[in-house]
Amino acid sequence: MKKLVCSLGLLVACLLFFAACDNSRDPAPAAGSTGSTTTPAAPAASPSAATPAAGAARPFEITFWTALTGKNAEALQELVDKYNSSQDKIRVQAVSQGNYWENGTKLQAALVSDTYPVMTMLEVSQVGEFGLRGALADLAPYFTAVERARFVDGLVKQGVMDGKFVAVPYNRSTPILFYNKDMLRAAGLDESGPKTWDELRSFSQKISDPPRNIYGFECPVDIWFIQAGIFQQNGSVFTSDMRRTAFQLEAGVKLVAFWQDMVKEGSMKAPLGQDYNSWDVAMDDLVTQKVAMIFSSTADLTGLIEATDGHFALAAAFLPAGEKRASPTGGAFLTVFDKSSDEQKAAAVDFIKFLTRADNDAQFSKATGYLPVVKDALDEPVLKELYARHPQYQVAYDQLQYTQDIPPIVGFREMSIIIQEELKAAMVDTSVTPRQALDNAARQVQNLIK
Amino acid sequence: MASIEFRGVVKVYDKKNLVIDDLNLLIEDGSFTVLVGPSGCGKTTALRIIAGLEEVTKGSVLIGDEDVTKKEPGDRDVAMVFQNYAIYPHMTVKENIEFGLVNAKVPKAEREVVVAAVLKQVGLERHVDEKPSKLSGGQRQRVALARAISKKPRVFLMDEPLSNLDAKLRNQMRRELVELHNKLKTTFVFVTHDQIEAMTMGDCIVIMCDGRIRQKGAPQRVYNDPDNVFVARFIGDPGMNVYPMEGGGFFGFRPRKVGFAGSGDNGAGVDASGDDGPADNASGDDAVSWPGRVAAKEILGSEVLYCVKTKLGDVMLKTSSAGRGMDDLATVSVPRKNLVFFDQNEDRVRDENEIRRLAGGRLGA
Amino acid sequence: MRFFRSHAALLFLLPALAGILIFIIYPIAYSFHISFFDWDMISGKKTFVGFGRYEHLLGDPKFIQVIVNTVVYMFSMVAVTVALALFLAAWLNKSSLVHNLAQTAIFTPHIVSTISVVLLWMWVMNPDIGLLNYVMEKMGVDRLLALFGIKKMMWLESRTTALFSFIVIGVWKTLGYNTLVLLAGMQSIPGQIYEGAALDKASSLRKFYKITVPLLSPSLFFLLIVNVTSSFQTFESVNVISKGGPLNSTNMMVHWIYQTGFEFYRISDSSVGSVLLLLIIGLATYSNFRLLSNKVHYQ
Repeated sequence: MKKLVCSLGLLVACLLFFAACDNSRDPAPAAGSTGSTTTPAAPAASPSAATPAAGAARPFEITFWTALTGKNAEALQELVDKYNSSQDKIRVQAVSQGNYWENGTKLQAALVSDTYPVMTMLEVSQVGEFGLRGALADLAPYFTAVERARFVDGLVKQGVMDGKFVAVPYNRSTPILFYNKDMLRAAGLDESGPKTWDELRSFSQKISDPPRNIYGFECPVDIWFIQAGIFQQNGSVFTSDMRRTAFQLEAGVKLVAFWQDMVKEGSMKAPLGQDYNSWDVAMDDLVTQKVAMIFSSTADLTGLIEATDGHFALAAAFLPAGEKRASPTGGAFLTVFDKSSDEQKAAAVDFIKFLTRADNDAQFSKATGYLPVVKDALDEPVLKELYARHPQYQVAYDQLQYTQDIPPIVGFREMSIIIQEELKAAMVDTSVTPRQALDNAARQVQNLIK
Repeated sequence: MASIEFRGVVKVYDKKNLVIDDLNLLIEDGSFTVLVGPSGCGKTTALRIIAGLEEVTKGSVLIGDEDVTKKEPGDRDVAMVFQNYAIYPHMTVKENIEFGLVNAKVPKAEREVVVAAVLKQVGLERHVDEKPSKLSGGQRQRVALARAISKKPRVFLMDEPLSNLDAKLRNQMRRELVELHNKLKTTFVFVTHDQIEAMTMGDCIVIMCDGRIRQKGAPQRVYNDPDNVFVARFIGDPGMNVYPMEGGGFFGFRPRKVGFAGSGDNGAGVDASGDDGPADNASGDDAVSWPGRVAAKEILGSEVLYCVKTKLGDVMLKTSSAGRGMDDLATVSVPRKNLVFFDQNEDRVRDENEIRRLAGGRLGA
Repeated sequence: MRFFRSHAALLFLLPALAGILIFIIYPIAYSFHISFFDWDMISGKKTFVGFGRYEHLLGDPKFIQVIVNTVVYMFSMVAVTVALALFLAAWLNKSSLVHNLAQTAIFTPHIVSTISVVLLWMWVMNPDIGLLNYVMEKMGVDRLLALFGIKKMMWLESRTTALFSFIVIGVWKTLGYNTLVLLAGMQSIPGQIYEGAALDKASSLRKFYKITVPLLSPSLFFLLIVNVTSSFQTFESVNVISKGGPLNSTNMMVHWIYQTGFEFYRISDSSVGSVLLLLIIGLATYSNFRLLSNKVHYQ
């Protein structure tokens, strides 16, 4: 028995020793973490790139980790292939890693093990997580002022951090109001939809018929729509120095009270389910005409058009105004890792510029439903024709003049979940007052702000 | 202490399997009655009916003068020892013994006294707090026995309790059980398929076959005076030699009652002629004999068991003369007074006239 | 050659040992290691903080709630499942067409994949259009609940009933397996012991808990260990249905570890959680063995 304990102890000690030895192998903090914008420091060679030989017989290969699946992934792959076959200096290898979160997980491990790709697609909150930790390269040196001006203002703002251009908008979306024109008309309401919060409420009251399970308005209790509501009431989610929460102040209270009142009187339905499950519920209800108006993403527009074709007239409008109009943006950006070599960065930017060429961006936008990110894409015939046929797309684009977003902050995903949970609970149990719900959330989120 | 009575008991399994058919039996109070018979004869079923572990299809069972047909096993005041002991493997010896007492809400002090006494009686005092897994087969059997004794029942039932023990232990236990019976004077009902056990232990033997009683009586009586061919063949080791007679009926004789012709029973000399010669132990008219050849020989110690092939068939012969060898020619001879006779229905014929009618002149053919 | 022969056993074991070392022992040791650091994998910064993260998490009420959720779930699951399985097995311990059909029906959930089960129950428990509330309404159970002040059973959507709903789903899934194990155990108890007990004047109830249950103790012990360890591993149901909500009421250790490390990028805290989970499971298993193994009777 003693022998066994001794040998086990020795084994564990050996292992811990080896584990501790690992310490010395950690890579030095990335050069970009403190913010050198001009000459990038000597980077660790990324093993995923081929030998850098510009202009040699073999094309320069760069890896690109995407987070799209299904039709959207196919649309992207088309453009990747188009790029690769259009020239022979650079070859892009695009690999889908699943969804944004799966991609993020793999990136985290890849960064530690030096197997990261040259460039990747990052969701808005991830841009903050990775960018604020200095992992992303500043691409400003690679773009002229004219080139940068091509990007739609409302969509590019979140890619700039501390003056550094770390993320290029690509598959971007924004929330809009979808509604059933026929149901509005039948209730004798203005077919162009509600313009303000008050109208939203009054329209809903007219249409709602809870005994028959018909509601006027449905909106997932998601951070996106919560932000929108707060911005529309002239509030903000955090203070301008990003050190304290601000969503629990008046604007937030107004939003939560508004929703709660509507739920209590039966004119609004808060869909049940976690995350995107609740979005699906809202969309289902719209399609089956159980609800007249919902908030959802422009990325869902294509799907909804198909689903409602021939059943009823689907319309889109700006999110109703509170004290003002406002809408956040979502979706993802293209980023390049700072640890990549100069050659790799240059190659990546070349590819990015290809993707954001007017015609290519228009093609992608049409195929996926994401917004066009460069202004001149709207002049492309494909988009012109699309917008003429389905003016709903134009609505989303036009709303971009009102974009307002939360600046990047570390731990945003965790904070969003907290806020969503507290507000959802207030919708389910309307005896919880708006202040209680918001203060609970604020307390927890404040603890997370480093 | 009580008598047990079966009245017109019928037991059918699954609506088609008739195991016991119109059983009428009285087991005397205080007796050591053995139910014996081949497998499937219904003896175990009968025992279980007394215990209440089987329901009767028809008829009634009485213990003492009480009709217990509808009573629960636990309320019949009987105890049973099973072939596989059926003691509780997760309880200690003490707990096994007092389980029934605890259920009957006997107060602790009284329980302790009873358990101590019983343990002493079966000789398991040193194993009081052990679990059955630590005991030998014989000791486990004693635990089962102790459990039964502690209940102070009116009737002790035992279902082949010694079958799983080795030969020496079995003999020892047989003696102990008989002693126990003498001491307690309670009615014992003992089931076995081993007729030796039955003969040595019981004061009343009930031989069963196919759900019916073939004979009931004291061991000596059953041995010497069987009521039918079945009993004659079943009892005895080996059983009686029984052969059909021409024209119907059967006759038989015990292996000890037959000898070799031409030899005294002290094995002096061998009559090599093998054929008819006057037998020493019988005069021509008084004995019947047949020539044959020795086919098997078993030495049992003080006696030898021969199997001699004759035109009658195989004749089993028990004698103290060890002189014959395998394949020797030999003539077996039985004095007429040792013959017993049965009619065509295999029932015993005792009347002299009847015997003469059946067998007169036809023997020895 | 001689070396091979005299060390044959070790050499044959080497591949498996290597596997265990690399994929089990080493990661566990490394997790211990990480838990003492504050490691940001994205920027690469790694600072030694000793027990700092432990202190922080153990002082965080949300983390404590996760541990509590897990333990409550574990106890409830095990107690309810095993108790129900015991009674079900006792009832099913006969042979007839009805009983055989019932046995099959009860065992089926075990075969279906957890994800399918979970998705199915999500819809069944939907407060508005789910089967459960519909049936309860038809049977008038909702009026009974109203007496307790419950207007509408929100199942997975309310923080007071969500964990309970998970327990229901968990019990439903594992009941069949547990019942079958106990049924097999019961059928291996010799019938004559019950006959002996009948003669010992034991009532059905006494037979049950004085004979059946003790003789089932090996099976019960086995089920205890298996249920405890598997309930600690609950992940799919949480990840698919609730992601820990509503309001952290269904967040369980494994899910918390996954979410904190891989969605929130806090790998050090995740490692602390892993280490604590290891300790808790180890403690649970150890106490099971210590306290109960001498009560288990093996025949």
